Amino acid sequence: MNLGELEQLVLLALVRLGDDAYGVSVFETIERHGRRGLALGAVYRALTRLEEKGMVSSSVGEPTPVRGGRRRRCYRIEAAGRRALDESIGAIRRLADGLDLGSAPR
Amino acid sequence: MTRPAPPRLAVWLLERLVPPAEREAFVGDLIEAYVEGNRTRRWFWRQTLAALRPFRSRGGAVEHAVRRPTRGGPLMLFAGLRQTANALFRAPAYAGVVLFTLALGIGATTAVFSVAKPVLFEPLPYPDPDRLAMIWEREPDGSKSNVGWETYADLVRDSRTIESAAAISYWAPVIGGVDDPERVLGQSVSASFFRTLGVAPAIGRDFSDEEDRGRHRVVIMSHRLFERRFGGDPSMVGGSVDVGGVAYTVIGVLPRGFESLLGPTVELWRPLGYERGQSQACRSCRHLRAVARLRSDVEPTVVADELDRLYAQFVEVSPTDYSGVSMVAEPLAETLTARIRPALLLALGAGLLVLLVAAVNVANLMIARSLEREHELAVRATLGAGRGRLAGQVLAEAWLLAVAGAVGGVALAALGLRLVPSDPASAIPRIEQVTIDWGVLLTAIALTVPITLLAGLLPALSASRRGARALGHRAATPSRARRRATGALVVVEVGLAVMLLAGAGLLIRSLARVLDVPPGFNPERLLSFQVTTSGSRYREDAVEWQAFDQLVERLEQTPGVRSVGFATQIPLGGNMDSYGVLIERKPIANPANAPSADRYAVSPGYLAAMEIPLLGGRGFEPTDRTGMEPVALINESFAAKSWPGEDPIGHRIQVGGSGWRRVVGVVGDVRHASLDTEQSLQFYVPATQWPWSEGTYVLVVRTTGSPQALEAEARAAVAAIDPALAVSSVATGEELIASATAARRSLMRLFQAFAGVALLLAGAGIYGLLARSVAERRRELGIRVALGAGRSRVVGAVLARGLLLTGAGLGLGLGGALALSGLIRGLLYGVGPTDAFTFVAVGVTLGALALLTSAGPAWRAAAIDPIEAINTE
Repeated sequence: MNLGELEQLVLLALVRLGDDAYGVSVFETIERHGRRGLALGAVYRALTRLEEKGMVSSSVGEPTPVRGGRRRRCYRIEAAGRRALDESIGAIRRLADGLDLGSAPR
Repeated sequence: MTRPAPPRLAVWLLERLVPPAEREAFVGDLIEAYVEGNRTRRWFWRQTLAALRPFRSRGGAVEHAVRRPTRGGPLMLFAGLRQTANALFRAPAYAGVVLFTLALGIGATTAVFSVAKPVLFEPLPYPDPDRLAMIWEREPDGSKSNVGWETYADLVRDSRTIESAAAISYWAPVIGGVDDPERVLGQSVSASFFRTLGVAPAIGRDFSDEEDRGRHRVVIMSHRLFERRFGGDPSMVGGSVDVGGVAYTVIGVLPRGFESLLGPTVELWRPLGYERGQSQACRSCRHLRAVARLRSDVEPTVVADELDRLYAQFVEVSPTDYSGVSMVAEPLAETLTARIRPALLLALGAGLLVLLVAAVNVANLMIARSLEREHELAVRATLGAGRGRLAGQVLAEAWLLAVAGAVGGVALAALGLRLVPSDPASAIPRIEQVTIDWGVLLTAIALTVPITLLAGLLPALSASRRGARALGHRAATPSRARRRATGALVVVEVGLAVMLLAGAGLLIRSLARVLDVPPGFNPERLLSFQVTTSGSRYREDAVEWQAFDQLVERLEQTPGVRSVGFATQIPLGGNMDSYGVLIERKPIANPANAPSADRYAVSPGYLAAMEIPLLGGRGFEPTDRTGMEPVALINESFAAKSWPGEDPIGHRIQVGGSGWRRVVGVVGDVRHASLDTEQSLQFYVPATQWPWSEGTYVLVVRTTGSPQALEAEARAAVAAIDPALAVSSVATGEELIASATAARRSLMRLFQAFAGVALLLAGAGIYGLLARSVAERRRELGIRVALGAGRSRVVGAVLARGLLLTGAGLGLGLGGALALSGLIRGLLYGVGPTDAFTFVAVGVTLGALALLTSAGPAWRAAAIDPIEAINTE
């Protein structure tokens, strides 16, 4: 199953974050890695879509004062998600390997 | 440092609009990210808006193209309202032009309809208005005349079909006494007047039958006068008010909503108080209007038969008093609207024509848009969007534009109505009732729906039909059929505009002809105003005449005044008095058949001040006074009719039951009632030789400079003679002419405006079609030029197309104008409905329009660079 770009980014962030992933941490992880100007709503829609496809699962977490007592929803990547991510990222990796894309070296 | 709280309104919105499943986590996350991440309020708002507008960021082009409508209405008219709105926002020029066009058409129709509605489509504001009728005597020539009081009284006594009736006479009292005299319009009416109409005073009581016999000094006033002069204080009812120097008891005030349709500016009513045997109550004293409420159970034919029968009896009893053939009952609604009805219907028709032109223009624009979007629609069809869905979207666009256009149109109409004078004295009956109400709004909607369906259906159908097939062969020239369809629409548009233009032209020519009619007096540098006496000191006629003589003398001494005169009536002044004239040694079998002539009782200086020419004999001298031989002047038409080929001077005439008076001179004709009615017979008598003074005269002042500048001094002169004299109806000579042509002028202006709009739209239609065709045929034209076709031929082809379209439209329009010419005939003066000059002028205008609109596209066609044109795409 094909993944959209944002779905790939969300799944990658979930892998990095491990068990403690929730909206803000996913959002900020993606931001920190260079995708600025993203809408939190878009991240949420990607998460919802992935959950519908069975690639992530969610559970209700703890409320905190800074959130005005609102509870978090925590996300975790499932096996199907890892497989799909591996498929789509793997293809990109293999294709990009050894290519000079013309951008400045980091 | 603690971070400020996130924008409260944004949170409030989120709490209501984010789907409940995600709400808690999402809003919490957003606040947390805002606080912990040290982000700006601006960021928070952007996030909020992005979250509330899921549509924008979701999905790619494919999903967008085939998405099913979220809410499908009947015919999918409201399919994807938001998508539709977005699509329109992306084409602001198109949306703007369509909106403006629709708003113009709907606005024009709505405005005219709201003016016409109270007159044409609403019942009169009285109970059972269908049973109200005016009773007239009918003359042998078919014209209607007023009735004398005894005729009226006999009718009420003998009729079995009339439930109740009232006689009405003119009254112009001065109220307020010395402190603040004001002349108001009043009516003397039978006690049964308000009962006949079905109206009762809101405060106080109605007239009693007792009060209608002899002189009872009681009045009923309008709510407007009650508020204006008496502050709306109910305790003044039962009190007294100074009317012409006499104390009258106020017995009632009419309801606020009462409309005095039988005298639109009347504010005061008193009992008529006529009795049999009184001189003014005579059968041939036809100065009363009679209104009747017919019984509910009788047919109009029964009423007509009875009136015929009764009239025959009246004639048998007093044959010398009647000249007519019968009496007629005319429905009140007809009496009130008969004169204005054709003009309003014509204006309504013109408004509908503008709407039609607008609709055709919009249809054309919509077709053009669907052509431009052919590629997009084809892509969508390929991706699986059904035909119905594509047609639905085109229709949805049409709907959205129509609704917005209707709103704009009603707003335009409201704006336009502010320009209509709401003066009850204007030519349009019930003008003060003109508003934009539910009826008008519903009409605007009823007009918009079919128009939009028609305008949107064609492109919708072609959009669905073409579908995927159009993909692939795009750049070629548009099909012949489509070119024909748009061409036909433009021809229709031009045709409709031509019809309006022809109508406007005929009305302009008529007005010019009316203004060419010499009024018979010199309207330049002329000031006229009415002066009415009040108070017991004017009981003696001699005192009154003396006061007016003093006033003339005083005005003559005012700097800037050349000459002064006064008369009981002045031409175009809005009131008249006519009398049957008997001629010595030319006996008539029935005195009632004597020719009727306008009477003017004038001061010696009146004719000179008005500059009415003396054609023979002498004018009046100050010596023509009471006690001297009674004299008269007659107008040219009178002389020609009564003494054809003879000199009338020295002959004697008798008018109004007084003795013989000698004709001493002949003067020029003046147009009395209006400029466009037939010339009447007229005679003049010295005011002091008329049997009685009328208590009110119109002063005419010939000035050396601007007449307006003299108004203040004229008022001061009147006040200096007696502060209780009331001044009213101040008008310059030019204003008299203008008000005599006001109704004609406003109809003409309306037609001009409508024709202008239609012409503009038609011009835009031609231009749009040619510009599009040049753009579409760019390659073809480029190839032609490359193959050696001269640029002049390319230009010629474009110009020829423009001229052809215009010519076809012109033919269609002139044909339509000829077919409908009968409708406008009654409103023309001095020109026929098929006036050649007008039609030629319309043709020339259209020719200019064709050249003007074709020039741009033709120039662009000429400027095509063949290499570039072939290489593109």
